[in-house]
Amino acid sequence: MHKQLLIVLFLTGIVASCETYPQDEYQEQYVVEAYLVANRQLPSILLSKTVRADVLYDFEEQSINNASIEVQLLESGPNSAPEQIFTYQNQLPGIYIPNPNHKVLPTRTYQLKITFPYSDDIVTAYTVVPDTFRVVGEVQDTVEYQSPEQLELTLTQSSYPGRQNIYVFNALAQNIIPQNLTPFYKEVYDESETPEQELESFSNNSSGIINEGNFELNPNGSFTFDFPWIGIAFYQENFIVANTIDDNIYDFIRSQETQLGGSTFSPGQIQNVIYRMNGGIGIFGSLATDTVKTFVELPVL
Amino acid sequence: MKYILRFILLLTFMGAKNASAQEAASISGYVTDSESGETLISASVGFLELNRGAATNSLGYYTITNIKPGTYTIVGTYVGYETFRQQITLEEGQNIRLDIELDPQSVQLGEIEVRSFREEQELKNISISQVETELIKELPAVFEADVFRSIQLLPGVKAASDFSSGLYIRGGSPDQTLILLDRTTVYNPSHFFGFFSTFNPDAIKDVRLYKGGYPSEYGGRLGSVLTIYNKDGNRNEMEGTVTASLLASRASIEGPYSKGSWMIAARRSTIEPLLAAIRQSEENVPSKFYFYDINSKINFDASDSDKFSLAIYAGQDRVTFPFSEDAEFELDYGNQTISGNWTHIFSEKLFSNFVLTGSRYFNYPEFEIAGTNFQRNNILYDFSLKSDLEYIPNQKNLVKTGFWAGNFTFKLRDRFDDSNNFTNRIQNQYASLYVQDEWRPAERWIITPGLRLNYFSDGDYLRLAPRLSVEHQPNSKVRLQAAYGRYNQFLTLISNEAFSGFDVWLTSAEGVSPAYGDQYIIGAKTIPFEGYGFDVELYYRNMIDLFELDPFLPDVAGLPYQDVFRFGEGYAYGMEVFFEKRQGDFSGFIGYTLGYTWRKFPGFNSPIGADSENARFYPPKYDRRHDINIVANYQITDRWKLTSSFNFATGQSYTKVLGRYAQFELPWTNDNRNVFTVGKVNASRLPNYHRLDLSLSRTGSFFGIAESILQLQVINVYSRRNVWFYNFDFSENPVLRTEANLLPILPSISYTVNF
Repeated sequence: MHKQLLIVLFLTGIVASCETYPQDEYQEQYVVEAYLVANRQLPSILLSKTVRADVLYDFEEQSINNASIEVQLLESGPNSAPEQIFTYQNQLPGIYIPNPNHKVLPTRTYQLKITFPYSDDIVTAYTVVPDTFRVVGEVQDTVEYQSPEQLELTLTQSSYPGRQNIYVFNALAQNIIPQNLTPFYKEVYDESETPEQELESFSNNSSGIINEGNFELNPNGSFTFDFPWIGIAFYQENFIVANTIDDNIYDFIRSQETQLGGSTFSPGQIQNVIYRMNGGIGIFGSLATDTVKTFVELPVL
Repeated sequence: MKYILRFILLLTFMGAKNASAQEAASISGYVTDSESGETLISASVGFLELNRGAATNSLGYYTITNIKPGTYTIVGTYVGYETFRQQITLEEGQNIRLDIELDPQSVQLGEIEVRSFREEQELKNISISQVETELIKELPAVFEADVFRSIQLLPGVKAASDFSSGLYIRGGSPDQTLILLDRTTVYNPSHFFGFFSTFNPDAIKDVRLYKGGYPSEYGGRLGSVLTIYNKDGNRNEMEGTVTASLLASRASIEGPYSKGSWMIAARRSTIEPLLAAIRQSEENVPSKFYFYDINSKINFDASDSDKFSLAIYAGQDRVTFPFSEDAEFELDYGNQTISGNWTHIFSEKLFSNFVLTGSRYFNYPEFEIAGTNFQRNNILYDFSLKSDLEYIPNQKNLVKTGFWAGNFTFKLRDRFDDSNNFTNRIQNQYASLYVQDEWRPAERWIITPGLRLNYFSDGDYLRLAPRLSVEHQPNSKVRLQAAYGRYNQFLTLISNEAFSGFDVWLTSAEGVSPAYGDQYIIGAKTIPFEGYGFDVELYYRNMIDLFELDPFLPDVAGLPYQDVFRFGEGYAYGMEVFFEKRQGDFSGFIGYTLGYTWRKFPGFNSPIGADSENARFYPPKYDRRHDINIVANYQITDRWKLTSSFNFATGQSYTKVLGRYAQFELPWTNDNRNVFTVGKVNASRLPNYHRLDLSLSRTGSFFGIAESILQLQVINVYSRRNVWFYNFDFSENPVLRTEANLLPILPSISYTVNF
């Protein structure tokens, strides 16, 4: 009996000492950043590479220059032949601009192709541009902060293949001074060790991802949405921007936001961002957008 | 279904055949504590002259059948009690009802504590562990004596962190353990956002953990079952206890009445005055924080054959935390359970128990930030009827059968800015039917086959779960055991190991298949020397069709129910070693666990650039390779007792960040998006964890009218700064990694008066 037990313990010791799940080594990756906006000119494209996590990060130092970049308008969706090809030129370190320019077409598919002069690497990705929409109806010129009358936005239908529309709203403040901050943001600003950075950050304040399922559907097919007060960081004039995003941006944002906690992940469990790109990482994404203006008044006491 | 019928017929046939072979006598009854009248679970009753005996069931009832007529000495034993002996004459065909009262032993220093043989057998069944309630109170604990923290010391059971009382058993997450309080499911048994469990140690009579391979009388979870029974209440005299400690105080009182007994125990936080004082000088202190729990039970002994009881539990946590001038967080969560129990003895061979249960779990978190509110309204109701029958057709078989049927209602409503953005109401009917036979074909063999049939109405899921355990006892000091079982689970828990206050249960449904898994266990239980125990168990289990909330969904509005989940699989295996010293001034145990646990979900943990559905198995954070717990009790003098617990564990897994980059031009923000690149998820290990806790207690007198116990405790005696996880500060370049630490040294004091 003792002999068998010793054998079991010995075998267990062998099993325990085997490392079956070794840590990977760092691998450098190409990093792309580009956002195509429906009905706007093709955007610039940023191209760089990753750096080890424990060393200084500087975009210019990591930038990749002299790559050959082209964006192709595909005939009929992913994997179809190019209808038009737009080349890019290296304007600044890691920054490429289109040459010649082109207005991005909604609902069409664009493909990115990057090649490099001294290697066979190829980076490819495609994006399906969301359909355009408009903010319609009367938008309040002036709203009183935290009054029962919230800023109400009515959006025409957009569309995206295979799923409901996914939105992100943001408020672009026009008078960016600390005195204009709403109370919650003012307190964060006052307590911050880097108040100027906070001010800059709050001046473009985002709602985060909001599904179309949250909105009230009107009989004419439009959606109505009350802009939440938490989105307003500054009193006075604000541009309210509604964006509907493609799968590439959606996957990137929703997975990147869980890297440092939140969701149901245990603290310290970090996963890679969901990428829709071959040969590199980052975003080659698209969106459709519309903007309105409103004035946020101090609440009447 | 056909198989079940065949099985029942087979058992019935076997029983009838044996019963008709002889005109034997039988004896049955309850075994109770002579002072309190409390029924004793797993007490041993047997005949000295015969090698025959039985253990009491979970209601304290025993039956010995097929006894040859004659005069014998019946013996009743239970740990900590004087042995009961009585001569008894059994006539042919006679059925005797003999209720046995055991006298508690007066504890003598140096006295050998002998556990009753049958109790020993019950507790040595495969994968069963019992935590004695006295040990729960004696163990050093952070602020409050805690049932779950004590269970975490057992081999095979791991803690996620110092801040969590969640039970991670044999590679399973907390939702894979069925927790039954007086046979009623408790859905979120935590206080203080998971810091400790809701069970008041003063109210508890019995805590039993089936770590795996559990028998077919239980079901509904992939991993384990924890049964907790509250005290019935003293049937002879009124008694009580009051304990004051730093975080909470508790009191209990129990006593008899003409037809039975009653018990009520309450606990409430007492930290509010301290918080109020801190608020005078510090900001960011909750403006309201309290928790409480109440346990009560009343027993009505209608006749010798009929006993009724009603047990009620209610617990709640509330916190209001204004964390900024225009921002506040509120949380209100808790559980309520009720169970009405009827025990009926049809005959000496047929014992029955029927119970009506009700369980409610609610969870109402709310944030109000800058005039915008986020509210969640989550309520769960579970009402059920449960029946268990025990039939002893002959001395070789103990047949258990029963059903459990109920209605499960789940309501979840999320509101953002005063509008609903997710509402879901699911009402399910569930039912299960089981049959098992504890068959002793030969003196040294016990074979327990069982079947459980589970039905869940949403999706019309019908699942058959076979179970089998085999035990062979080659000699009186060694028991070899093996078990197999299939287990189904229709529920999943949305939780975060750091904070359990927002826990939400979701169910399987059409398009969301219930999870299932198989467990294989082998083990040996030995008695190397008198008063010592040495046990080894090896286990392997798999988990198929695991469903859990997709962690990458920031908003679930407008999504079909099945689209809010991700579906995966997992497996776990390991070895547990348990060495126990049960006698003398110095007693305790050493538990060692070698464990591996793995999970896989499509698209998760795939290498960069791999196909989107590609995935690799990864260990969850709570995976620890080695885990050693040493618990020691030393009775220094009549009055002084020292209890210590020491835990050493391999560091938990974490993901090492390998690379980084930033995205600069997202249109709706001026902030750069800093992004990590990683390799395999959770492929690195935090530094090893170790911690020593001490508790020194002194028994004394409270002004000569009652017994008192003063307990001084120190948690993390040498203040080891164990690492919980790593934080990353992107405002520094290179990015700065900092440690989030677990508990530092924490002294604590409590004072108990028993009257």
